Amino acid sequence: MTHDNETIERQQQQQLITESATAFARRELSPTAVRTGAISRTRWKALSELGLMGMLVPEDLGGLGLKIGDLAPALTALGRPLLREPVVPSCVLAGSLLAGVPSGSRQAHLLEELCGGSLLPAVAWQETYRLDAHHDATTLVGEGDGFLLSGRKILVVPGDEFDGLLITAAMDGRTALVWVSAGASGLSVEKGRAADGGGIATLQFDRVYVHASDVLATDAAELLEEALDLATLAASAELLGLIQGAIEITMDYLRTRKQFNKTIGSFQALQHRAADLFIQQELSAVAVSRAVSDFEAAKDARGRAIAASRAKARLSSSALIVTKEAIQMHGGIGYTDEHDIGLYLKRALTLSAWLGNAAEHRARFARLALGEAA
Amino acid sequence: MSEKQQDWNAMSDEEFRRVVREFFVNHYPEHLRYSPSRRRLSEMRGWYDTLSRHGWVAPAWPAEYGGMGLDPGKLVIFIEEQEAHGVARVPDHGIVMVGPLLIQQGTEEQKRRYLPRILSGEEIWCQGYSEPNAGSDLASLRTEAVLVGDHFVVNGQKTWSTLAQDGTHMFMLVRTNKEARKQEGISFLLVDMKTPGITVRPMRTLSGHEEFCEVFFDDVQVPKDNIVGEIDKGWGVAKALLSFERLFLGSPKLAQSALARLSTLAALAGCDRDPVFRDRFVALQLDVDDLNGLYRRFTSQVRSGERLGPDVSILKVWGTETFSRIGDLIVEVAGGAGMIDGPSPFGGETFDVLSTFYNARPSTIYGGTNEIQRNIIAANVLNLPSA
Repeated sequence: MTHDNETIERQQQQQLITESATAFARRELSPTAVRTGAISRTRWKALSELGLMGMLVPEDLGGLGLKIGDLAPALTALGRPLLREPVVPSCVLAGSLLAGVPSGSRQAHLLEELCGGSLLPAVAWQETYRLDAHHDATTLVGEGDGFLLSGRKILVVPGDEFDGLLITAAMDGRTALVWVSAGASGLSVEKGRAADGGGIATLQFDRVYVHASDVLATDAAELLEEALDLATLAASAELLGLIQGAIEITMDYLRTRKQFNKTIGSFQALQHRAADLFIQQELSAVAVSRAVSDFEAAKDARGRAIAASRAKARLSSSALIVTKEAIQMHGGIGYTDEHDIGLYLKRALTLSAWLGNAAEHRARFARLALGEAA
Repeated sequence: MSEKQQDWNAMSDEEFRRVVREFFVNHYPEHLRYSPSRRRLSEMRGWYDTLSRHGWVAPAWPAEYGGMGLDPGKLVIFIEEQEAHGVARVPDHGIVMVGPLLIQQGTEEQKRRYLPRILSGEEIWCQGYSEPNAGSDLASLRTEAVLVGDHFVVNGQKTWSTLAQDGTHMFMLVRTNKEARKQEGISFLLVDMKTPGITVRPMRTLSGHEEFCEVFFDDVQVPKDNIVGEIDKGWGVAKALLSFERLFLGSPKLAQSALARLSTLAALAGCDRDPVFRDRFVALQLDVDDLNGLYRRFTSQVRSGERLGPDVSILKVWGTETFSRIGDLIVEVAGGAGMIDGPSPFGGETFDVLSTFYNARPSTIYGGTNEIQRNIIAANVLNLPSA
């Protein structure tokens, strides 16, 4: 009975979160807002008021102490009209790293700011384009009372629009996690552009001085893996929203565009392909919800990793299938920068490749779930 | 001058290949090699002049009109060498479309007036077919031309004109008879883009390039003699070009150069020996090989003077969809670099991961969408009944 009541209570809570995220998305987000490129700090603050930043942060650290199952539907709702603000990179990934490090005053302070929407952190962990490669060439070495950070990180989202960085670095054969503020001496930021127009940066650390209090963890390899898996699943949930949004726009087009004196949606060849898109959407929805419940129920990190890879393998693939087909169905107008549907394709490219594309996650799934021989 | 009278077809294939390769190596500007997207006229002007000086602008035109007069075998070698060296396309609507059309259907005066200026690069052509409400359903076009005395007065709007901002002339379809059935009241006009009343507006594409334009016509006066073929019979003229365009759009060039890019990236990313990659690469390579085979079948048909049938549509479908699959695999192989806009560093080199993927998007849309090509195959090749 208690279990049932808990389930019902949780469902009601999830419904509430989803409804408020949907209302927020309607009120605050639109593909047009994505065009401006820059992150809106006002919207970042508003997202924090929605409870988004602290949703997964434990209650004793000032968060709501909820689970991915509560956050995922909200991310899907926000992904539908496209989301410029880096909720998954800067709140899910950074937030779970911060929540997972040993308690300390630095940690408490950063989490408070993050949950309040006044901090926009970026996580710098990746050093090559491949998910399965080593990312440990950046080093941290002792220097007087503090440490020196040297190395290079790539694909840092969101470009240079961060207040500070969570950086992984090798120290004494382990993975340390340090905090470095934007503008630190010895830090150079080379800003690039992601496919969706958002920022993406290559960071160079030339003996950046790190205070002892900014070394948040000295053995964070497992924490990083766990946080990446959580972010991978969260990105999949956002991709689901993107797929739904792209299909909605495309079906509207099929219902209104006329050629040969007919609405093009009345052509059977296009109807069949529209049906195929719907199948992709529903497969994607079930992949996310299964992965979310597997993730929550998993006994160990391996179980969570398998769940995350399952979702990302499906969603990275389906998002590209759907958005490419959406462009094709729009015809020429879909290829112009003027129509919103192209923004969905670009966002799909970005989110599909970030944290591992479909092929990389299939390979990872094979290694983890099938016990592929090394 | 000597090269202009050369009988290329008398050469052995090996000798011809050597001459062509040397020509590209000696003359083609290094910085324009392996261009991921279409180049503007301003970038290609020097190369156009070089080709023109050597009589190499129009490899496929008969020698009597100033072309190289290559037979299909030699033409394929020419294209292969062009591809292997990474030679970009000059703005070539005049060379590839208007020239062959005028040679086939133009008046003597039109040939005399237009062909030499295509060869010299003095005049650059663009196409005016599609309209906002006449895309796949091209025959429903509404830009109209009314004959008043010695001139047509043209009013309306064209769209998807490739690089029209660089064009000095446009070949276009206009409605000259509103009473007649859709296809029957259309005429084929040649228009000087400097004529008052023409406005060109470039459109930005997904990849951020201004490759296509909208062109507006407001009481534009076009001399009556600028019509190709008879009045109201332009659909037939355009159809001859369209099948030519489908041949051109089905050229293995796109897919071949994409495959070369894929191969380069695989080496840069270090997965060229990976068995999963090799399986997929070879599948695509064979797709391109057989596309080549199909293409040669159709080009020799053209060379021998046969009209192309509706079955040429298979080329465009297979060519562009193979191209698109290669673009997908490039993005996949790139891993995390697949999210970067523009060139990404790979070791000491750079590689633009998304350019092929982006270029593949319009390829299945322009020149008659692949849906329309499939309709043509179903209705006119397989003779399946209409709904």
